Amino acid sequence: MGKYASIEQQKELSKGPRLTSRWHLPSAFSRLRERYASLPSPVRRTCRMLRIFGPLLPISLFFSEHVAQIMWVKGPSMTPYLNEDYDQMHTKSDMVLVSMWPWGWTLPWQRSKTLERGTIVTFRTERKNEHIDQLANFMNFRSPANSSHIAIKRVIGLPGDRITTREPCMKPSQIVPYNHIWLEGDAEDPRRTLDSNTYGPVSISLITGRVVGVVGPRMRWLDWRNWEAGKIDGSSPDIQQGNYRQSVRDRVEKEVVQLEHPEF
Amino acid sequence: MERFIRSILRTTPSRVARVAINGTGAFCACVLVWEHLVTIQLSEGPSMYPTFNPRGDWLLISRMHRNGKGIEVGDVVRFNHPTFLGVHGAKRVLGMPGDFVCRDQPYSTVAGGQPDMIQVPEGHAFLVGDNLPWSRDSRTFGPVPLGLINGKIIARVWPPSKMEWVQNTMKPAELD
Repeated sequence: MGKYASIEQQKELSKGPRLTSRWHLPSAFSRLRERYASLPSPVRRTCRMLRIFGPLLPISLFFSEHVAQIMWVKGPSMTPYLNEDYDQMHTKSDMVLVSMWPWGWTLPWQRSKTLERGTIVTFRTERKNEHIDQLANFMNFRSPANSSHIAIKRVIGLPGDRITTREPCMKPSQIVPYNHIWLEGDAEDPRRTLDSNTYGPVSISLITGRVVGVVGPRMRWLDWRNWEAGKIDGSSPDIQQGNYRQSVRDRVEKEVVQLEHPEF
Repeated sequence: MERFIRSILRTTPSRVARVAINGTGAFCACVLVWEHLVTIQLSEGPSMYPTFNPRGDWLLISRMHRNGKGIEVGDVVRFNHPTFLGVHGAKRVLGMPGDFVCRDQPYSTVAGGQPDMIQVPEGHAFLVGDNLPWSRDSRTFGPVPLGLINGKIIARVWPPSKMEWVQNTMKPAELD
């Protein structure tokens, strides 16, 4: 009998090494869990839903600020490219998709904003009669009383270009300085657009986004290469005759000054 | 430790998705707080010398004053540099829209050395560093659009011996 273990000893052996630790959470925490479990089930269900949808709120805010946003174009400054039939219907406004990723297809730390002549950009301005409406003011945490406004214009000149200006501008020509761009509206009549001819070259740091497409009423993608070629699709007579806004492109002398990037 | 390993071994796609969405949400919330409420940043450079150390100070920046909201004359603001891409500057506001300021030469050592003044245009602010001969500011590049201002510097948080609120030194005198 001596070589067989007693029943108690056998039980002890069959357990093997203990796999789960006896360590418990602090009692305050477990008491909280108990109190939560004793809540009525509708409350618990709401809590569970909040737990699921809570992270989605910052994600969507982040998306609208850094990835893409929907905006509405107001006013005649981009007619006939955007707001095509402004002359017939003043209330209708185009809904555009704005890419808020200002670095184009590069990575943020490379710090090279890809801007081309003909791109349509949105930028911050202090003028009140400007031409874009935001999806919702609260999405940008901007109070309407003291907001800075978002305007939409086309990039005409890049740093180093010489622009022959048009009517409201007081100088006959202007060389665009480093880190600035020349923006103009597409309207034929200079009185219908408030652009760089009024307030001069705009700092690239003020640019908030790039318009990549029109969502409604007529859906289409916008490509800056169509600007250099002068070919866009549309029904207005300005567009139909071809070579869209060649007069504007003729006023730009490209890369007159070679600007070196100053070291900081 | 053992519990932790077991919980890892028990992963299912739904758990992975849940951790991913929670992590992304936390990251986005941090970014939103950083961009809309407060930022802490190291500031270097001699342009604000008696106020900030040229060797570097950690500053607490309130981002609620973005786009020149609630900025007054005398506040120290952080702004996107108008001529260098991706660079921030810290300067004191000398004039708000409509104010008249002396048009000094760049890097001049005296204030008001020139006889003429300019009016700050609508939607712009005139920013000047505290260390006049060592500051590249509105005397060089002109009034700055309010849209470039992205915060107001409210305190210095590091080094701890010099922890203090940043004072608005240009408040009008109060007389009883």
